[in-house]
Amino acid sequence: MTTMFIIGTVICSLSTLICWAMTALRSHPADSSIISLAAVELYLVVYSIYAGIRQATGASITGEAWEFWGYILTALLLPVGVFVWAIVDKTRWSNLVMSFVGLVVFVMVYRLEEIWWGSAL
Amino acid sequence: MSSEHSASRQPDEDERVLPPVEPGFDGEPESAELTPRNRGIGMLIITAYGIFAVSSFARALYQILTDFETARVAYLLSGFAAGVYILATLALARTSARAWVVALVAVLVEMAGVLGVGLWTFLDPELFNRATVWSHFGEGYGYIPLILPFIGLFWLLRHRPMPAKNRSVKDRTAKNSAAQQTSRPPQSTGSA
Repeated sequence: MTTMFIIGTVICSLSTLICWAMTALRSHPADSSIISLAAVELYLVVYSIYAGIRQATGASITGEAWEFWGYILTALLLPVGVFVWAIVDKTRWSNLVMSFVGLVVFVMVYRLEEIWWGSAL
Repeated sequence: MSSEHSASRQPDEDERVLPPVEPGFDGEPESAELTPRNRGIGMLIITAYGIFAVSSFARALYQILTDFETARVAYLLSGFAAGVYILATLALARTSARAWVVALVAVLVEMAGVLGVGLWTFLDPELFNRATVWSHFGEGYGYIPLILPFIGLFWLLRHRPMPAKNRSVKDRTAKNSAAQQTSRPPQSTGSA
């Protein structure tokens, strides 16, 4: 288990928990939910830069490179897409919609780690 | 001038067809008649479908482009599943009565797909020697593909389009205004 994966797990689970709490507490898209999505997006940017530098300097990954980058691209689009969709209707459910990002990005980072190292754990 | 007015008014009339959302209304799931089906909890279901549409499409594209020859049936099925998810997402996000029917068909096809392929992969694993979204009842995706069509179906049946009710209300108001108009002429002719 890499440090990047542990950091990702913490950020994703915090984001999901914040969004769930805000679903209960706020009847509009909460700032903290939106900021938590931004944190997930920032993590993914850092992750992709880290992976890019590693692979550019010759480190190989276990799986296919373009499957790896396909996952990263999809993951990068996800918080943005879900955010746009979540604020279409500004109700408490926007927060619950945004809670999906942490869950899905965690699964995607898990897959990324598998492609990168052969195993995430 | 009056024709210009009616032309500029037209978008308003289109918007009025949608069920109005009351200001400050919090979107309780119980009051299905007040919340449109693509709002409130419906947003969540559409998000889940959207995520599956994107991920299954990406996966199918990757499988078909990289090694289509290895498992044609499985990869074509992946592509079909992606198409069903995309159709379901778009149809669920729209409010028209026709979109409701399209969404219902897509969700039922999805349900048949996940149950059929799920069973098939257990009975005849050889045919599906590569995984799809629906293999083993969506095992690779935390069985969410198995649960999703049931949630979608439940939501669609809770939020049926109600043309009969709306139309009767509209007809009544139309008749009332027509009745008022027919009762008015004597007065208006009198003044003219």
